[in-house]
Amino acid sequence: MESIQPDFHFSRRRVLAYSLLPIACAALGRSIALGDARAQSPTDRIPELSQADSYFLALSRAITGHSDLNPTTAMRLSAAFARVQPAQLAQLHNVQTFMHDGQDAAALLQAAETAGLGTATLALVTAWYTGTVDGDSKTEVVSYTEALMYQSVRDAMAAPTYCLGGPAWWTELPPAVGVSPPVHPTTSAPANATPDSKPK
Amino acid sequence: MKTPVFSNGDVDADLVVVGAGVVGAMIADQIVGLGRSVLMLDAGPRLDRAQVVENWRNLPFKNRVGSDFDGIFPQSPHASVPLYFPPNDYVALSGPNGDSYKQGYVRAVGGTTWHWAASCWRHLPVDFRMKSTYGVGRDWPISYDDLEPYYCRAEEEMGVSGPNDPALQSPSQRSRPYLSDMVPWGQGDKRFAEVVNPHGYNCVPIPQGRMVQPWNGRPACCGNNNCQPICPIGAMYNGIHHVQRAESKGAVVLAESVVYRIDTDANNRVTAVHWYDAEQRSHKSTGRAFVVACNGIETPRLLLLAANTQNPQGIANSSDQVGRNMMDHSGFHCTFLANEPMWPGRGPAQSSCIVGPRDGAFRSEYSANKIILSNISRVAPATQQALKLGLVGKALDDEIRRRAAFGVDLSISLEPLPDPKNRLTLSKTRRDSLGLANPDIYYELSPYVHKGYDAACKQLNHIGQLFDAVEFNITTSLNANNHIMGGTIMGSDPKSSVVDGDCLAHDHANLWLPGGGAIPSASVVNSTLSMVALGLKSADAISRVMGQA
Repeated sequence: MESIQPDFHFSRRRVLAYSLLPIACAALGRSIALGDARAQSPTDRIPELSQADSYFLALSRAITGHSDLNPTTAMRLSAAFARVQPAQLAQLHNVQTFMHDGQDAAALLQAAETAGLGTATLALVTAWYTGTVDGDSKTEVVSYTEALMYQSVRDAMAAPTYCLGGPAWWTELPPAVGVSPPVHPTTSAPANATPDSKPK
Repeated sequence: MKTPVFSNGDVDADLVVVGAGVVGAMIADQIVGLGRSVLMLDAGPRLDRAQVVENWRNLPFKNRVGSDFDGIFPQSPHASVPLYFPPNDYVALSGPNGDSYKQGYVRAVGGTTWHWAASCWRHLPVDFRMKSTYGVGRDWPISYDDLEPYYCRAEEEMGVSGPNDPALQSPSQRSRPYLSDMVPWGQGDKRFAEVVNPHGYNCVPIPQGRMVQPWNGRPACCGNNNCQPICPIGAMYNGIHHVQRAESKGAVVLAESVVYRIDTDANNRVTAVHWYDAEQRSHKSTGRAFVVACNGIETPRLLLLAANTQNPQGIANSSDQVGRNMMDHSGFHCTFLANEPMWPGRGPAQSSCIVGPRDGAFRSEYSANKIILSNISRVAPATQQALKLGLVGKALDDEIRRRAAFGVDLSISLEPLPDPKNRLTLSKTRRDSLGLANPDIYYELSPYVHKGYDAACKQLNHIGQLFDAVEFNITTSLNANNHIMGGTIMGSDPKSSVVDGDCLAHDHANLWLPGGGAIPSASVVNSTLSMVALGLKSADAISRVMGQA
């Protein structure tokens, strides 16, 4: 049977075009990239927010450091908290007291933790990064591609089920990693690493 | 085009295939292509790919990061499968290693290849001669050379891409090249091989049931990195492709049709199977030839359920070997952060694998292994780990990116030996919604596997050193790999085996039982290609018998 050999010439050019797209978006700023995405969905127009939702969005932006969070997603996350974690939602309202201009996310978290509101604050962070609000008995999924975990690597890969380019796009060199490499804790080294026990 | 004949809800066909997964569908396609009428009965429903993709995206994060691959597939209420989020205990596991036998499979038209990773490995020639070469396990009644032409056909039917450079093949004994050369490696695969191969590990490309160009109505793979649990675009080979091909030639598939009884005549030939439809009405299908290919758990379960007066221990079970010798590749994982970015998650879910420890004289004492470099995105586990550190803001984004880029997950498979005491039996107390007994499985791993684990750990520790690994960890409990084998074991002696080298039941001249259950030695590689090759060999045997009729 005849062998089929892939023609990478065309796909490479296409991959290059795809790979430049997020860089271009990044150069224009996150708000423009997200604004474009929102414009594609008529149901995703910037909504009129209640005072509570405006606060929820402001707190979310402050604690994640992402100033471009989608207001519609914020409303849906807030509603999900109201259904599956109402006590935490009430606690988040109290974190408002500690927000102020020029404060970074870590300082806000520390203030919340000091006030005994750290668990609720980190639950909000988890919800934005995973797209899921976990309750004691119920769980709600609010977002998939918009989950912030995928944003941190979006120049290198798309959220699974989507692809970043055409066939064989992954043969291109990955982007610069842009973060420091992992470091050894002071005491352990792989030479000494062994399993804790035999398999059961 | 000859099609099955329906009459008052019953059916007659030249060939009746129970189980419309990759093996059953492949055989159906072959036989219907010869102008014979073919009926396929599957216990599960038809699936809509887009719906399954949406179900996955809508799954809570903890289910996705925990690999909850089974719950997203719509199920028939009358065809249960094992579920683990939460456990439904459809299969009751016992024995010292019952927890290592938590299998996942899809009961639906198209079968479990809806959520495999499309690795299409061949057994090694020596894998067919484990007893005579290493003094352990069993020999097959057929040789690698006997199966080799069927491996070629299986690869060609499934559209496999694989390395055409013999130095990168495992094994290199091939009579024909792959249709398409290897799925090209990304940077992570290249770097991993460059680092480990000077030390003899032999990291090679995985032959895969996908191509990077359109083929035979199938789109090119564009690296959606979601092979498991569902390829969103159908670029990965799936048994549904041969179901549809067989249907286009006149085969008929009845979904949600649960076979529960098998009739035999005075010569112990199978004359009919009976099934319940979705409304629990019973129907019968008569035929000339019968195939049961319901995967390694449901096939032995059905054979035991269908015990009749003439076959009181179960169909095909005069040897008492049906349901025994249950095997799976015992798996474990090694994770670490490397000293350079590997960026797993770019491309298909797995593309490279260490095969150096697949074979050697040590196999007389302990298990071989293979070590897959997982290419599944590490973003979700990286996020889970980074969130646990209590980070927020840019520090959290950077930590996720660091762990996603530098993270390595190695998936290791070990080889079990066939052992009759590892046994599937019918529950005396638990029944499904149709009143059919659920399966119970006793599972105990031998020192052969445990010693293989120890040997693999030494190799992994060395690999960790090569990457100056941070947070190096090897899991200590062995997990299932869903490569279910052994329950209808193949052999030349009808007293100690269930099927012959064509997967024809020793007890029944017109009943074939191809698939994982027939495999007498597990090797360390995914079983699907061997299952399909055996299925095609069965199809040739069926066509010969039909030609004589």
